[in-house]
Amino acid sequence: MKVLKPRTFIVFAFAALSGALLLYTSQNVQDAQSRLEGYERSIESEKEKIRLLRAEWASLNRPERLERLANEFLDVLPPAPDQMVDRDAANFEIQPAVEFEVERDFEPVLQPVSAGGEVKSHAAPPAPKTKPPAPSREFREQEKKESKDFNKLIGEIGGQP
Amino acid sequence: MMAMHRLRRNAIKLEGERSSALDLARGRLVLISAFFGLVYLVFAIRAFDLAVIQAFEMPYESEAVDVVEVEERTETRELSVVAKGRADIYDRNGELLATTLKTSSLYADTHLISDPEKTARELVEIFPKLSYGKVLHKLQSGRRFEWIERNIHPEKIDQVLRIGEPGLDFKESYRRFYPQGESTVHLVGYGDIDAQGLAGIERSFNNYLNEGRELHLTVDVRLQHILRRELESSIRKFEAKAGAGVIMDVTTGEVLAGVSLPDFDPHDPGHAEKDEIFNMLTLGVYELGSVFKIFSTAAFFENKDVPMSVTFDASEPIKVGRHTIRDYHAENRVLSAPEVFMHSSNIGSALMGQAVGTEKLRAFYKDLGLLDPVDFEVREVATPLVPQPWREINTLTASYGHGVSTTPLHLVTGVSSIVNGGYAVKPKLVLDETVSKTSTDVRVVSAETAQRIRQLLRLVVTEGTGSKAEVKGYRVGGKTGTAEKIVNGKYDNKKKISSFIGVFPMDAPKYAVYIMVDEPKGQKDTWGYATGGWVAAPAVARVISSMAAVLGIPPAPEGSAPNHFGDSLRQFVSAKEGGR
Repeated sequence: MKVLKPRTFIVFAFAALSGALLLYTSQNVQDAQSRLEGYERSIESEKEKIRLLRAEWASLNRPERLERLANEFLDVLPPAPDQMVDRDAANFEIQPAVEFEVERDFEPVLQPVSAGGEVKSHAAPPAPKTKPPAPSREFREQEKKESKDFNKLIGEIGGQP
Repeated sequence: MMAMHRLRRNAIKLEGERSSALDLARGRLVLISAFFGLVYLVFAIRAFDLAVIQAFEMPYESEAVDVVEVEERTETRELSVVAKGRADIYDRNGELLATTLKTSSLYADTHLISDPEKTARELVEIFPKLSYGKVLHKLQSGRRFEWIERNIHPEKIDQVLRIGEPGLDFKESYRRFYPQGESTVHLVGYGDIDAQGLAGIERSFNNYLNEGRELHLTVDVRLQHILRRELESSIRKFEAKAGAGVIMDVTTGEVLAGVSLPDFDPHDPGHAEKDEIFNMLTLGVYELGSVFKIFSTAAFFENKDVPMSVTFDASEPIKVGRHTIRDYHAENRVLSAPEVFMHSSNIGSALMGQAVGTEKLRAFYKDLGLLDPVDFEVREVATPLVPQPWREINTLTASYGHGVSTTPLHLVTGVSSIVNGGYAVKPKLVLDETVSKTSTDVRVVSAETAQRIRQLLRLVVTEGTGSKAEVKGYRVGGKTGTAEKIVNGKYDNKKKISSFIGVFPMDAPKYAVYIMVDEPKGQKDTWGYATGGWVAAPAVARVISSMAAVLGIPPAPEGSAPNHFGDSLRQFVSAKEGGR
């Protein structure tokens, strides 16, 4: 019984194969597309996060806030006019060059000369003798009253439903 | 038997023919059924694909609000798309002034809410500002779309999700955020709930920003802070009503800082008072007083070829019709031009104005832009109040800043146009690198007149009414202005506008700093004075000294040539009248 000629069989087999291949490809494409969408979504959300962080950074760097923090925690003031000199105009005294002999035949050392002997790598920096000053109560109250921290600001955006 | 045999043979024969036909038919049948089988298989696979494979990938989309409030939804969606892409605004150094942030708003589909009381209770717990009654009312309204709370904090989203009520859902929207808050509100402006600009740059560049194009302003947030801080402290110290201030680059007209106090939170313009929203810089028109003497004096020297030693008889008040022009710091004698300026003599300035003549003075004011609305990127600008018709008396009063009302921005721009060497500048708020740094080539005064005005301004600070504006080494020059406000059609000598325009460094002017305080009250430590010299001049000095530190401008060393700028004018100042 010659139901299928070999040629027909081949054609069918080929059709089935390409059908399967097509399905496989289309699945792949769909898969890739959904992954792409996922990436796009996450890029979008990362971008949104970056915007938020930049806004927070800008909000934390308000000159008014920095000034308040500096007044509280730093023992420095903005330079007064009489503390400034024009670098170009100022007549800095030039130190005379000192001649000194350089030892010519030294062994190249791979450690800081000043360290002398063993280099204590990763030595912890010396602990500060005095604790950094804790914010005064006055400051904290002021901070509470005046400083709109970012979350509060975000919360404040916009009106009522 | 025979027949049988024949029959059989025929049958076989027949069978042979038939069998090939049958074979053919059967083959076709198989083909067709295989075809259908394949089609079914395709269908089955496709169905499997849709029902199983893709079902897991498709994100669940709430369709609860699809049919409801379609209009509102599409409208807000469109605006939301615009708001999302709305570009940022930066200051001249790239500090963020305005940006768009995503916020979430909570709404309820009341059909899906099974237990409104419980849900309302839990919602009120999360949002203490909401009232239980109102929320419950909303949840029981039966509507499919009901706003509960707009722009909620990311943390609260989690809390709401934890209620586990399917009827509560979020809608994302985009809002404008101003990191600098109140500080820049009168320049940057603010927007409505859909982030569309209602004032300031946000308004005048609304479409531009919506198209996603960023803007850089000429403002420097550090200077803005300094100016605001000092203006605020002056207002507080002198118990004043309001105040305004500008820092301008005199060579380009760029506004480096602009403050109008009181101001308000741009995130909540709905709750701002009228006087907070009012932008004194561009909308407030005031008779600014003696600071106008800069203009009349410039007009005088520009139009009259006279030496500095020219004198004016200020020994007696001038009477014109029913008006009498008096001096506030009366000297009652003949004054030289530098003396007129440093003692801020109204009589002397009126005489200068008279000498120039009505037509020429008016034309000069017009050239400086004092008689027209200021051409500025912030669109909310006021038209100056100019006398109609302009009589001779108006020329006299306009010479010392009365009878003509302008905005503070007019004044700073006009002064900049003179002290920068005489080139007309326009106030600028948007940083444009493509425009060359040099100002327009329209001259309003000659270089010589400009130089004279510079010297006179310096003299006011070294010898005259503006001595409190001095910052050592920075060659500050300036002019005080104390004007009485008009209350019910009359000048009220209790209500003043005290101002000071400072320019530095005077030998090569770069910055103009203007501070104006509305209705300051005299204090004990100012001997009860609330004039420009006592109120605004010290504030300008503080601004300049802070500015110098921020911008790294070194002072001229003691005894150097720039520090003696303008000293040559001292010869015209009578010795006994030195000092303030």
